[in-house]
Amino acid sequence: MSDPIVTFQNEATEHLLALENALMDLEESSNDKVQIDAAFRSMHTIKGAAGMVGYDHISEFTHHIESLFDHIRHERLSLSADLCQLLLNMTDHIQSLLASPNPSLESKQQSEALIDLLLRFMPNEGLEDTNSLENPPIAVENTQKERSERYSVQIDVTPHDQSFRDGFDIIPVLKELHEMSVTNSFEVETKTQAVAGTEFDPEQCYLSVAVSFETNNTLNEITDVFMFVEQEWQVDIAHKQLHILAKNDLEFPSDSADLSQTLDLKQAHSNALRPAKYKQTEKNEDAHVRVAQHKLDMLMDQVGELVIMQAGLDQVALSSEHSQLQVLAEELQRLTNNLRDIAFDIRMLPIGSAFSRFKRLVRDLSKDLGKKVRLETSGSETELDKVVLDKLIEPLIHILRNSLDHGLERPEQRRENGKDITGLISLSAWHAQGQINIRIKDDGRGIDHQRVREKAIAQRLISADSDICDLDVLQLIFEAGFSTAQTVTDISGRGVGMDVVRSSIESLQGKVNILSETGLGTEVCIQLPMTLSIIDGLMISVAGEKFVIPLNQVQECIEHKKRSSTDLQINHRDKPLPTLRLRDRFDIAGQAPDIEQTVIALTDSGYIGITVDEIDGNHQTVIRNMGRVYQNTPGLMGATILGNGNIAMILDLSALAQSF
Amino acid sequence: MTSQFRGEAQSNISVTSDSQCIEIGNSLTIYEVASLQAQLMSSSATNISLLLHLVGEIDSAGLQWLLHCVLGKQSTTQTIRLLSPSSCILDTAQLFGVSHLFEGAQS
Repeated sequence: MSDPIVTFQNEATEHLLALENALMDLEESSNDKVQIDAAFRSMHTIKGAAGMVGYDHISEFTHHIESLFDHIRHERLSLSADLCQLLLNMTDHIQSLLASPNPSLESKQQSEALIDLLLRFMPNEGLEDTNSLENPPIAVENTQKERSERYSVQIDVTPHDQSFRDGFDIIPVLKELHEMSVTNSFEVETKTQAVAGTEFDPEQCYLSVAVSFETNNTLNEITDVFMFVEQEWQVDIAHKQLHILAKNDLEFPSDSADLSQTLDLKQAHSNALRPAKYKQTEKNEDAHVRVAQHKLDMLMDQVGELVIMQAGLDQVALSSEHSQLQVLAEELQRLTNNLRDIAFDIRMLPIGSAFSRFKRLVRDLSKDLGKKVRLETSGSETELDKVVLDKLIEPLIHILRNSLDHGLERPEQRRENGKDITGLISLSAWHAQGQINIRIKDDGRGIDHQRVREKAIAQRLISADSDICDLDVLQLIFEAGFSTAQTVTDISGRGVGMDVVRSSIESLQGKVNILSETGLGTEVCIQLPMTLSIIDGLMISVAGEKFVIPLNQVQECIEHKKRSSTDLQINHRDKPLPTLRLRDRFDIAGQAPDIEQTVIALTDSGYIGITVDEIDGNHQTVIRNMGRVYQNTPGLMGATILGNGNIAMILDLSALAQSF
Repeated sequence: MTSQFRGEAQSNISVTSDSQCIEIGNSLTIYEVASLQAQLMSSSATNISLLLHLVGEIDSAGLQWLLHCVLGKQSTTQTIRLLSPSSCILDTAQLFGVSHLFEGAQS
């Protein structure tokens, strides 16, 4: 059982992120009901869960924000830019309060100061002093739209028997349900299992409660009360609409649009009559379980060991004449492959979970810099290994900061240049050839190639008479200490960072390069492997030495007579194909056989051929980092352990392609 | 029975030949119930009174323990009475719809 405090902290962080995103959307469109509801639900959930796990201070703090959103939902208050900013600050404060259930005195004082500010925005509750605020909110009278639906609710709650030990209490749930009830209708019947004195474990939960009340709250709002215990407790909710009081709802619709709305209401009414437990069952079909990262890492390690062991068994089975052993080895290999694929899949996360964090960063930095910026994202659903994703955040933040600070111009400058005053940063991701591609593009001023060249010469990265092309000059930006920024700001420009970006990406077996056109913008492209753990490989041999080529890059294999070592290309399908002999590339001793094999592979530089002695076949390749001696060897991306305990190097074809 | 909740129940105990009065301290939560239960189990008194006026904090585990005691499930040979429940206990009992079990216990 995971620690409920840690579960709460993780889930609250996710809700805060959802709240933050909702608030930023509301800044653009303050009447977006979907986002208002999303924000209310996030706050409501954090409040309820905080109370259940002993974070009383957060529970109290969020209560005020929840109340504010309730006013907004019922159109008694509208969101202003100042209010959005205050709520974002409060979101940050809640994040800091998550560190401990008992906040410091300073944190408590900060909470009070923020609540004081919030109360000024509340209708009839604030100090009515809005002089210090540029855009005070507008309180809207809206008595007509007050909730008119009334529901009868019956809930049967049976907590898990370890609930008390896990830190979950029934009292906050009952209190919250009680708050939802109207007209003194709240009734509870408590049952306790009959357990004899000697067998009674007072820390185990034997209680169950049946709650009935009338409420104005919807089924979703009631279900939210149980959000943090829905996996552990058995909760059956029957939610039935009693009557509709609003006069408008009783009038006959005057046109077809109103008629369809009325039909929708009937459908909603019929749905509301369904007991919630059926909905719960539907929901559980796609239920999620939280698992600690280290457990996933352990699983992957064990799968990796199993794959290596499997390779060993395959070798023994192949050299044996025992047919039953061969059949078992084959079947085990099938199961191992399935297990590997499932383990991979568990670790894959959509990159959108990282993209959503950048929205706030772009918003805050653009405000600080006095720039107008729009962030567009695409390919958020693109999945990659969580380990890769986690290590990708910092480099991406750095690239975004550079774009914001140095790339995009101020509004007046953009207008002078005939551009839209709002700058655009686009963040996109997609899969191609078994790799993840990420592109960060801005439509700013671009990078001055000449200035980079001059700086590179001044820093002796290139000689003054170097004929290096503009594209290669740009890549010097990734050298340590290189910066062309004329001013050093808090955000970027110290020349520390782009080299760190490159080393971070390279540590993920990835590559980064930059393209830029003066006046039009800059584009940073990152290529990453989908996983750092296990890949399908093609095993090849040169003089008995084993190498692995990532299988997703292999297009075909051809057999031909031994070719001259000076011949750097072969004729393939009537076209010349740049080809290298691996024996020559790595100075492997011995003579090439009379008949050679060439693997045709696709790299980001196009098709290349790799000529080898033999092709051994497919190989499940558990990628291991190379030791210090080999780690900077161009053309090698890692190593793998073979079934017999020997080592095979994994080829980095893109690096080999660049050596032509 | 082992407990990960190491709190000790802050209670005063007075004992006569066959009766015992246990005054429960400020807190009646999962941190105290194991200790209180152990006290009851080890008591040889046939009439036990639980004095509840000091209780300022109670959780579901605490209430469950009181219900277990008052519903006579503790022992067939022991009779347990609840005395002077605090407002905190009464509020919680009301929330759970078990106020009737505390009627007559109020001083």
